[in-house]
Amino acid sequence: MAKILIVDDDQDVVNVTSVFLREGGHEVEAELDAKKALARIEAVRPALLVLDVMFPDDSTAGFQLAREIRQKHKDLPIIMVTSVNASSTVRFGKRDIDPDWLPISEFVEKPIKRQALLELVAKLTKIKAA
Amino acid sequence: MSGAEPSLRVLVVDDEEALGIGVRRVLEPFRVPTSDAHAEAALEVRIAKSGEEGLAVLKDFPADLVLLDYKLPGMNGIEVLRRLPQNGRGPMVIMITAYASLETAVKATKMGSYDFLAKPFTPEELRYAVRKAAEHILLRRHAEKLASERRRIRFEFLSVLAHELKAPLDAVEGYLDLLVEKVPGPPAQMLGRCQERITGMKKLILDLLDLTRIESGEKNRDLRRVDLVAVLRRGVETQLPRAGKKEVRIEVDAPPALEFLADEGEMEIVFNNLLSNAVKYNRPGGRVAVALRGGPDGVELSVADTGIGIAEEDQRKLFKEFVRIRNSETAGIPGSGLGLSTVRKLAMLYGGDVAVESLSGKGATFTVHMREAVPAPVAGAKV
Repeated sequence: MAKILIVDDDQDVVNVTSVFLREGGHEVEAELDAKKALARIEAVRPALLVLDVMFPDDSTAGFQLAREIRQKHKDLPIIMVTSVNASSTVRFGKRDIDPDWLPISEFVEKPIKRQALLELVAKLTKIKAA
Repeated sequence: MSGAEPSLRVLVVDDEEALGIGVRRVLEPFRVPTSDAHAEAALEVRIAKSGEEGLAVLKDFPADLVLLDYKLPGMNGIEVLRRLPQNGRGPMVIMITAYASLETAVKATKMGSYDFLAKPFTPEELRYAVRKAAEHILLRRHAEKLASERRRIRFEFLSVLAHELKAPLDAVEGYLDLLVEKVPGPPAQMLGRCQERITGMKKLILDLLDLTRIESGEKNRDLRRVDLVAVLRRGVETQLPRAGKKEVRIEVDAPPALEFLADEGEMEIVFNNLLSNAVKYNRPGGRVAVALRGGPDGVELSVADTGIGIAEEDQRKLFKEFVRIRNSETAGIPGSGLGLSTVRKLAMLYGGDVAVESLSGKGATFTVHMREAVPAPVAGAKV
């Protein structure tokens, strides 16, 4: 059981993801506004972050946010959820994860599947505990 | 058009050295007006003394215009013309004929030459012929630029649209996933149908996007050595649940590994489309035989099914966009009619094609042949 913060502007995605995580035994908080994410992390102190890529007004706000978060929180696991791969010329994958450019732990494609998400959360929170 | 002055590359192929030098002297200071009132195109001139040399020069110097002498030592002008790329992909040619015989001019024009110049010609005649051809080339360039821009805008619009269409479907799909586990009995089956329809709609959006992406030349092709056998295995695995439901058996005949220089995403689209069709249009208890082979001539994937087959008159239409063969047997099967046209476009990007062999009611075999990655048809600006 871990405390997880979801940062995604889509209330419906947040709702569904929250149910998946809560039913998996986790405590969930959500932030819809990317600009408030850093402050929210300070307040919530999550053990793991679920972060979207596209936000209104900025189609790659999630990438920038991940870099800012990483400067302050070196060990916070970040699962990036994205649907950009399906509808863009750029395809992101695990090989694009990079300590400077894209400092995240895992990529998950939308729609998020319960089983896959819970397995990743278990893996990433365990590594941190060890 | 702004910034650097546009230029046109001219190659003169003539065994008479003095003629080549004379042509260069006339053309280098010459300027051709362009569609932009403020810009003129300059001419960069190279000289070759034989047909063979000319063809060799073209490898590093992709000329827009070739002034080609008919009478050359070795290969003559017509033979050089025959070796140049056709269909507007190669340089424009002005034939130079020592004896302005109508026969040579007609022959050259038939072979794709744009114009001809009779020797001896004055500087003024040369400038006139070159200007006429150059204006034509510049117009064609301008039209190509506009067309490529139009494709790019279409793709950008569609990719934003696709994302906006897909996001709400993802959300609804999420809720349905949650509900379907919690609701018992017939309502759960209805929710299951909702899930299937949403999956179908998302596939349609993605198919449309794939197709537009390939057409626009916008797709960032990431060419690396891809193990096609791994792509094939993943594709087969994806189809197993659906094949299981219909009790369709999938048999694979492939080497342990087969490397091919390709974009993995494009290979997935080709393989998955053919595999998914072979399962979708199969009959219950049927069979799908997949064979993957590599050779000096490229790679070949064939996917044979024991399904409803395709009537001969329908086979020609099959690879066109939005064509779905409509009859009583395909009525209940969802599909966008984009999959096969995308497969064909992709196969062509690898110097190959796709073919079908089928008898109505007796199953169908699709064979994709790919030689090697060739440049995308249009290189539009990057997003």
